[in-house]
Amino acid sequence: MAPQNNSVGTVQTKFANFKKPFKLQSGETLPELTVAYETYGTLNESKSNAILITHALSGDAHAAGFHKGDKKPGWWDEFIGPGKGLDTNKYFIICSNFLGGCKGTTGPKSTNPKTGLPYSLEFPLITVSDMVRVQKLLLDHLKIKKLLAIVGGSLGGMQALEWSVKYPKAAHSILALATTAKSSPQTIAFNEVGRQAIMSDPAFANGNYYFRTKKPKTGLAIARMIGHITYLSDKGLQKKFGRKLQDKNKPDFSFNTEFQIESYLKYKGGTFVDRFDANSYLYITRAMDYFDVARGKSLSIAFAKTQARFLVVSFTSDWLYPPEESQKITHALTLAGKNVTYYNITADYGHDSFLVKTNELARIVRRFLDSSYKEFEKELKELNK
Amino acid sequence: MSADGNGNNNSNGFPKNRIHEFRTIAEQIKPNTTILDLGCGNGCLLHFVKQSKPVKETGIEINPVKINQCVSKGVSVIQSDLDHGLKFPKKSFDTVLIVDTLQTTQSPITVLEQALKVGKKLILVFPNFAQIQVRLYLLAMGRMPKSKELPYEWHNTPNIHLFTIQDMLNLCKEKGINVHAEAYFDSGGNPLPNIFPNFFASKAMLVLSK
Repeated sequence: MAPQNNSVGTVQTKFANFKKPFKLQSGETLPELTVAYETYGTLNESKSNAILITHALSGDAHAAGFHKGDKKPGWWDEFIGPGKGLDTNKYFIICSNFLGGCKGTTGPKSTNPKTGLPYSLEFPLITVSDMVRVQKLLLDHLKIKKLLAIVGGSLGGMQALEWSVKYPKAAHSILALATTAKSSPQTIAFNEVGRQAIMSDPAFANGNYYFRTKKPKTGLAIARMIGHITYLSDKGLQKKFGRKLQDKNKPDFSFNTEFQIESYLKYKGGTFVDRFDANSYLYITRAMDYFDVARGKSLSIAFAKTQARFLVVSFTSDWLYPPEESQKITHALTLAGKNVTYYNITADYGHDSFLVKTNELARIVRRFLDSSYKEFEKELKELNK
Repeated sequence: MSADGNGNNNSNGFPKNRIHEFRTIAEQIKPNTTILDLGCGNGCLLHFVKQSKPVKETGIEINPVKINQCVSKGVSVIQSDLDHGLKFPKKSFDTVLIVDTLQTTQSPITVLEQALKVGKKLILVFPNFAQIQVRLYLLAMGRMPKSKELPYEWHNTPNIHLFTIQDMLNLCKEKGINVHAEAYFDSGGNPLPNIFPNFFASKAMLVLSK
């Protein structure tokens, strides 16, 4: 598929390097950082139209448009582009690969300057808060003092919420989609099964597989398959696959692929291992596990200082971060006296609805950003008076 | 505001004939206070109040289309079903509004009591089912009354718990609810003097607390 009219067209990943040591929440230090990012649209003169996208577990900086020669667009191309949910004719969109990622930003795959070899499991444990602090470094580097909005779904939503607490004045609006204020034991449990699948793959070799021909593909694929089940819903699976058999009319009575759903999961697992690093998967899921934006305290106290207005969106069939989690966030924000809008979209696609059911999401996001943009322009004008 | 007919909407999305009603409501709200509007519809009342004074507004609405309209106006709105209860602590809002909504709820008493619990005061606006034209309609036609305020057929009306001004005043007495102020409007939305309102008023506004 060639770039179309409603696409941002051909894009390139850029890199920002930070040579200063970066201290992590764990107390460990990274000697230097590289941040991979992409931008779409144009930053206006008053710098009032910048929006940061915070991506989810398997995302990266390439959110929209096409890399040269690629047939597949960025991961949220449905939602970002001229006239889309995040309209690049109006807004300047920034998306960076998060800390610990494997798509250009420093992570376990990166070279440790002390050894000249990949960090692997020498890489220190990271948190969502660390990811957000790295994003702040990038925005300072891009000389953007205050964002119009931060938009994120799932783990991206966790980062957006973390931003609002860590930097209460850094964004006019926070859009937290299909997310939660803290990882539930259920999420931690699924993450742990995924990690165990990776670590028990003989090819994992304690994380030192980078120079080996055999990579822990089986383990990572299983982790992805488990993860993917949690992103869907029973109803969505019924609709899409039912009990249909794969390329046959009757079962073989074997352990080969019998049902369509098996084939689908194997395909999802198989394509994932070609684009994702197993060590990264361990570190990022661990960062999710640690996430609790309130740090064990009351959520409305945690939000006390934020100056942002919020749009919280959930999806009815999402059982990984169910609507109740979004309702808790909304409730806490209301009690803290913040401006918050909550919208629960009826969708059958489970957690992944925020990526696939984008029409209704786009409608409310466009409206919300329109009014945010007007307010933010007014705020900046009054500041400059 | 889910249950009334649509008059001529002005640019802010509210029927022109509701200007007196909206002003009377806004007069009851102090600047720099918090408002919770239960069943805020397209957000036009909250928008109107916000334009007249600085307030911190929250609307509750169930209809996705209306939520979108609220968002376009910059009105903060939470998608929720009033019949599922309000989970806010006692007296967490300065003013709670229930405008043209109480008669659409499954359990109006519960909604009313919860509103009085979470709000320091409640502004309740509702259509009066005992207004003379409504009475005459039933008397003359022998059919469920229809009017500008009540434009629906009996089988498709969202107004499942209609009541009269007298019903509400009786309920207040029974439940120990204080009535601080009252205002009445005719079917054109014009203010009416407080003379036999249960007979003449199409709509009533009561300011209540408990």
